Amino acid sequence: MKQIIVDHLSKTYEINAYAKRDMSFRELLLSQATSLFSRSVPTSIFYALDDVSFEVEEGEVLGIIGKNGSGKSTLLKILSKITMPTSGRAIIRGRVSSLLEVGTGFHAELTGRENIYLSGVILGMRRWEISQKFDEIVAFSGIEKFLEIPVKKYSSGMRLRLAFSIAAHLHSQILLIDEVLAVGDYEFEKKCIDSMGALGRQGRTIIFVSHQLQAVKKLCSRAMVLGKGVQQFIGAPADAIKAYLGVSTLSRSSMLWSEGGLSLGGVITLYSVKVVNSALQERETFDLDEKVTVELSYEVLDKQKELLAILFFYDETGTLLFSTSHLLHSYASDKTAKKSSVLCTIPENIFQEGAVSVGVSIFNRGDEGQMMDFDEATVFAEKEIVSFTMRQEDQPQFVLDETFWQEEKGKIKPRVNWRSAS
Amino acid sequence: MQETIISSKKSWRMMLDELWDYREVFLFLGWRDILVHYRQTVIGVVWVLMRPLLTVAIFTIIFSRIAHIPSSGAPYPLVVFAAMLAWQFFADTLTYGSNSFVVNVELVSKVYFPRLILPASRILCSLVDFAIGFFFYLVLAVVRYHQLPSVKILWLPLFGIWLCLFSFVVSLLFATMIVRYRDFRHILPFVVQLGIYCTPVGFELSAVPVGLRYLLALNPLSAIINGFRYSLLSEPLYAGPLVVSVLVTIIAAVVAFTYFKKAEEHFADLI
Repeated sequence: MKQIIVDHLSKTYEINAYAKRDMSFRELLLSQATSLFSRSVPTSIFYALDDVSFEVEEGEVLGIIGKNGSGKSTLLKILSKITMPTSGRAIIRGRVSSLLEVGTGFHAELTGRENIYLSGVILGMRRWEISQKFDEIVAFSGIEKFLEIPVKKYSSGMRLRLAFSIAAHLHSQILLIDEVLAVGDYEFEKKCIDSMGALGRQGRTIIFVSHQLQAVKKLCSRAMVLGKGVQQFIGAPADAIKAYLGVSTLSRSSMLWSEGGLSLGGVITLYSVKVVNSALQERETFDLDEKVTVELSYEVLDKQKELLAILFFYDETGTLLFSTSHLLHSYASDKTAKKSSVLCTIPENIFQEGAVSVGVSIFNRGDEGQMMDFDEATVFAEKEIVSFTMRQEDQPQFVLDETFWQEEKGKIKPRVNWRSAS
Repeated sequence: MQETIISSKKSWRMMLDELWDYREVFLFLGWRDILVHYRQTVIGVVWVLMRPLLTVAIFTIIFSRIAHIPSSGAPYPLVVFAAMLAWQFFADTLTYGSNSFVVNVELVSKVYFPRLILPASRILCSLVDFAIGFFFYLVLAVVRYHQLPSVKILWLPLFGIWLCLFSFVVSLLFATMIVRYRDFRHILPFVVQLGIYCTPVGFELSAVPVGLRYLLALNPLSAIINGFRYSLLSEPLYAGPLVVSVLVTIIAAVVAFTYFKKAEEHFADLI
């Protein structure tokens, strides 16, 4: 059965009307008065969502990916009835709960117990359902001891856990989820993702908005790409991610943009990002005592611009290990070949064991002395472009408690020298 | 199976169905407001009584002792107290209800339920205050003035419902305006402060000329207070002004609901 049918849905904002939203009554009177004497300002129409149509089958998990401002959240807000579409319609069969934020409906003065009821009802549960699931919710959140004290005295972690366990026990057939996973720490995020996977397996229909590509790939049965309000792609998650990133091949250790590369605002074209070893061969796995090199192939289109490439290295929990930057224009200018490459080599014995992902940003430093704000200067910024794994060869570990070892081993693994002082 | 159609139009019929569907949210938001309202106040219930009692005392001194406003026979403090029950209910509902959309921004922009529920659930909280006040009114009437209410008290619920409706309508109107024009937040306290002088709280309708009664009737609270005093103290009920007040209430309701329905579509975008 088709559970959600979205039929040519559009949402527009009048830019001028939008600017009026903070207008006070006094300003309104003034503007009305002045408009008597001057011609009205033409309003331009902004399409937050432009003719989007799709269907979701019962039990399907649909991921929606897109950059900020692509209309993802607008779509979710329309489906959860928070805002109305300008044209088109959607049909939803079954009860909907929308989770646009963790902890919706919490009131700081009320106790944990009271907030479970309040938030549950606001999110679409019936009172008897909450009573039935109450113990489960409390057990899942692990806040039994604090049930009777006001939520304002909770730590933010406790609040988050409580909020999420309410959300995880919502029993609507349809769940609309927006970036909920982005709030917590890594542990919590993982718990959320697992729990969402479980919900999906229970046959719940889920629409899940995120720009965490890995989560989308893992959880969704289909994915849709939105760009500037337009539906650009819908299909298998892996294909959607390719479409989103504009790449033709997607392996862990290399990213090759399709024919002609990825042209960014007439400033630079990106061809590929690869992880290679010292012989410039593509590799996915490295030993701790091997050098890791990241190769960036590009073509500078506007030679007047000073372009800065920054590589970010993250560990598997998403913690930034370090970043490094390099000016790109200097290479491009003294070469006759159009395509240029830079190699960034990280010395051996830096990374700890485990997966490392690499993010790439390119900034336009602008003309001499010209100040640019961050958004304006960012030509390209993407986390998790490529990744590789560091592994330790044949070294017997301390036999320590596993979790202790995981937590205490640290983020880097330099080769250190121990010797006796005498 | 429940089927929801989301489109750019929404009918009145759909609105009503939804209100019924979300009745639990209404009750729980009301319950929340009551809990929060009483929890952190040291003297709790006493506080609810302080305001009307102080007002009654001030009015008694100024109007009765100094200005010698005539009373139709009922003890003057009771005349004022009966009116204060209605006035306080109206003022509280208006003050809190009008800000209910703005105060609950997070709910309005993050989760859907019929928006009407926010100002409406505030009435539950005012009702609790009202019940406490009413109880003390009865205690005062019986213990201090030895006046048992007559059978006319059976009319009180009718005027009570009218009071709820009118208070809701006015707070809905203000709440909707405040979403778009925040200045009304600042205007509101003046409306409440001035309102008490346009409402027959300190005097009975019998004390004013007929023409003035009709003028006062443009404020439905005067008819409601007249009704309260009729039910509790047997003040004569003035039918002419009452009809005017009913008409004003109906017009206000039509305006408020129409304006709200039109504005509701853009609430999440504006707030």
